[in-house]
Amino acid sequence: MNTVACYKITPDNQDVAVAPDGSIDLAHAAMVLGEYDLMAIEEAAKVAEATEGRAVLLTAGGEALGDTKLVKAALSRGASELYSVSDPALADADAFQTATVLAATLGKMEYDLVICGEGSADRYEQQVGSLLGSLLGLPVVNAVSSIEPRDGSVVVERALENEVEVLEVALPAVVSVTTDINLPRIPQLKDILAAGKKPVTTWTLDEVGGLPSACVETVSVKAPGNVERKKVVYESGSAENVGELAANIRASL
Amino acid sequence: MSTVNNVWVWAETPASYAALCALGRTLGSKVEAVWVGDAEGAQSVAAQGCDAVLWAEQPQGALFEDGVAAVVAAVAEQKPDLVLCGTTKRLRLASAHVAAACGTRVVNDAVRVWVDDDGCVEAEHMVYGGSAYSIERATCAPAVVLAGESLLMSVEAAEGAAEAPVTQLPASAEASGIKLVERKPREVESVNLAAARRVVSVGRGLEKQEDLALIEELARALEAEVGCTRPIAEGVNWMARERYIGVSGAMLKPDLFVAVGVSGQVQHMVGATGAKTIVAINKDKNAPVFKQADYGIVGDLYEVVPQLVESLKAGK
Amino acid sequence: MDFKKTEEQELLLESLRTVMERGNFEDYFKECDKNHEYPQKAVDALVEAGFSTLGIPEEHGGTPIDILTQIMVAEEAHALGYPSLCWINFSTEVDDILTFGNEDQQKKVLECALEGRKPFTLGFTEPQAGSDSAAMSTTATKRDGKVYINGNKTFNTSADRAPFMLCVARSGINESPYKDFSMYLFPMDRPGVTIEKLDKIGNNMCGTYEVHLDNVECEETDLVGEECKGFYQLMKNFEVERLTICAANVGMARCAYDEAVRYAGVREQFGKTIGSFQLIQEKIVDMKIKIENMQNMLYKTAWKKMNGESIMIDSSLVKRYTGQAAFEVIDDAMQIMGGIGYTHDCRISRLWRDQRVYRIMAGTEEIMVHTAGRALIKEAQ
Repeated sequence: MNTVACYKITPDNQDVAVAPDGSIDLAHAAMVLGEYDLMAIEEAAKVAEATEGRAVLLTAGGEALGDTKLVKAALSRGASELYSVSDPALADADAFQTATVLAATLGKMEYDLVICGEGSADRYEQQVGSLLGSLLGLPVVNAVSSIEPRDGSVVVERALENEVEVLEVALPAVVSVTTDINLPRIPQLKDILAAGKKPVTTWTLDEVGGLPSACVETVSVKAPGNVERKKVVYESGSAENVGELAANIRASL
Repeated sequence: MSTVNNVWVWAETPASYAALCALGRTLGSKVEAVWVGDAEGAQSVAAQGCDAVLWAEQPQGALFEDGVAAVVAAVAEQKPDLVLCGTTKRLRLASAHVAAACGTRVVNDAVRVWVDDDGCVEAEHMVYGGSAYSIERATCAPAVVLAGESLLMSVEAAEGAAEAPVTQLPASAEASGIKLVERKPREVESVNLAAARRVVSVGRGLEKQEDLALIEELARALEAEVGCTRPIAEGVNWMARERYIGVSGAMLKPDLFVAVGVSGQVQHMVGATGAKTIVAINKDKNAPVFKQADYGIVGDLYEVVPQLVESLKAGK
Repeated sequence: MDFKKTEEQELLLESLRTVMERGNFEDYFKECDKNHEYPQKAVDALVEAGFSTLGIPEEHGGTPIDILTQIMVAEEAHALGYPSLCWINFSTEVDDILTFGNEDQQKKVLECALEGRKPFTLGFTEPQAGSDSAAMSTTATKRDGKVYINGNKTFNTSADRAPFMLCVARSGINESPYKDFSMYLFPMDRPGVTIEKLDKIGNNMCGTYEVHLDNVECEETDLVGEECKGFYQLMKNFEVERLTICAANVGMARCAYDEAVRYAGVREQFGKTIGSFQLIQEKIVDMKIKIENMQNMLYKTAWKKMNGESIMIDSSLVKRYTGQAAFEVIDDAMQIMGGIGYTHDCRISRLWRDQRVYRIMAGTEEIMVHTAGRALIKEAQ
């Protein structure tokens, strides 16, 4: 079974700085592989390995895609090839725009199953996979917590709020997977070294049909105003301190 | 505040419509409920405060997803200004189908929704792992918005609504390509942390799974629910995924949040920033959690928690 | 000159950080330290992630890697709190045996090394022969086609776990000790081998032993390399081994520094953070200078070695310097932490106990003066 895992390069959330006016400063944020996309990459590799197929990667984004370290980081996790659509305009593309570009790109590729992460690590809109499947007119399932390949289909478990649905999904199909579907592998040195030798195909935005206009614009991105906390800290767990803490807890209820 | 004309609301269970309808009322002059399910469900949705019910029949044994195409077609035809959905897994997917067909995206997990002076729907939601909130503005109709749980909890549902008329939507020939094999109960006990008034959350300061007993005892003393950080749920799997609090887990607004052995990373704490009172127990004086707490105690949780349980019991 | 790590080095270090983060070993290390137990769980995690295979030739199941990268990995692990003397990479040991050992010896040592198990304890130091290795008196006597080893070895790390001893002994052939030492590799469970644990002040996670060798019967095939060439064979990788110790020094210093500097920024006394006092700032600045110096000196030495230059002098300088500077950094870190730093709750106390031995073992800092001092004078003439 040939699988495609989609991933997004995002700023490291740990590095998101807040300017005095509450706006977000990403200038010094390291770019990383989307935290939740690691599960998509791992699952694509596992499904391909189990079926003697191939796993390839697909990403769309801005200049950060040119960072060869991030390319190696992605390719050191089991997939054999990377397809990337790179354009500065894609750096701020929204979920619909990204899904449209990915859908057009997949039109140039061969695949049985497309796997997306639960959501991007930066905006976490949890939609690209669902939009992508819908745009492609393919069966699409979200919240997938396990994938079992069959002949011409996959049987997936879908973790809903109160139950687990076991679904048979006809291929080709698109799924987005939960964050607990697997524990992504830790790349070993041999994987990292091999990653640098794997083929990368880069397309321009024009080659995949350009960028659609966005119907939803982002007005502002701001840090939430901080709730002032009392910050009373007892420096030791002495009986007296614990007693006072208990009293404070009771008083706040 | 400005409003739009026509708001469609969409939920998975009839009981979820009351809050959605009430929220819809604040945004549009007409609120119509979309229902994918059986006739009985459609009738009960009709009494939840909407002006009309648009019903896509889900035949016995069929999937909710099989009814979605009918809704997508209806949206394309009737062009509501806003499709406002509850935030469930099914509706995340279903709303994406609507959005894709309309050439737009979904604004997810909204903590606030309003209509601006130009008549555009705006909604606010969390981004960057809780470090920021983003305000999105829909410039074409329909706007597709998932209303977050905390937003829905904050609206007062109207009492004694009149029964609205039910119109059945034409079935769509489009197949979902998905076949139900079986339904399984979730192996984990269901827990609704978002509704809990008091929550004890445990992090990697806990050494062994058996030691959860200690945390549960504290929770009992406080009449609290137990939650955890992501590594506890997804790293070592000591607790169910449902108990994970944070960006990709539960977002809470409890009266009391007690963080035990939690370092205080933003990805977790963002799930609790809405708490009235935050208490932290951590042996690392430098743990960032103390900066985000009302009351903190520097000490080994294995020493502090049993003492605290005693104190709380004694003080009752 | 390029001080930037390669992408491969950065990614490898990221993998290492993920292993350590997922393992969340800090409390575990504390427990192992307290109970004098080997940190097997952490070892297993690193082995599973392939760190034991680094530097071992590909045809033997490893992944070749340069010395500099090996050093960076060892340094980073120690900077993340990984305990000293428990490192899981034995590529130097493997290289020794691949160079001089026979096929059977190679197989046994490789098997251990790939699994991150220490293949052998080195039988070198003796009670009367510390820095003065010429005073070694363990003998290897040939009789009826067998070889009998007699003597006492000491400061044998992991003699309880290592399946073999690589023993250096007098052959009784040449007058000059250095031209008389031979190397034998034999299993620790041979009759006549007994061990006795030493009660040290630190490095509790790695047991250190005295090993008594009483008529230990060996085959002639247990000889490693050539008879009477043992000392020179041992010297082949001495310098690289020394650099690994230096990497642990730098790592431990960084670990202590990171903790202390964070603490200085939050600990309040007299109504402000202690980091706002210049006496604390001075310590932090000097600690940082030492860390930078240690790193630069160590990386440069490794770079020279990789480029085929002699590091005879450099390896002594860097061993002496990192041993002392790391000790000073850790000591200052403890001072900044105050009373807490002196308790077992704070890992700086462990680093303080553990690192101290690196000023003594694998060539004391005084011997480093002896080796480098003579060479520097000679070089200037």
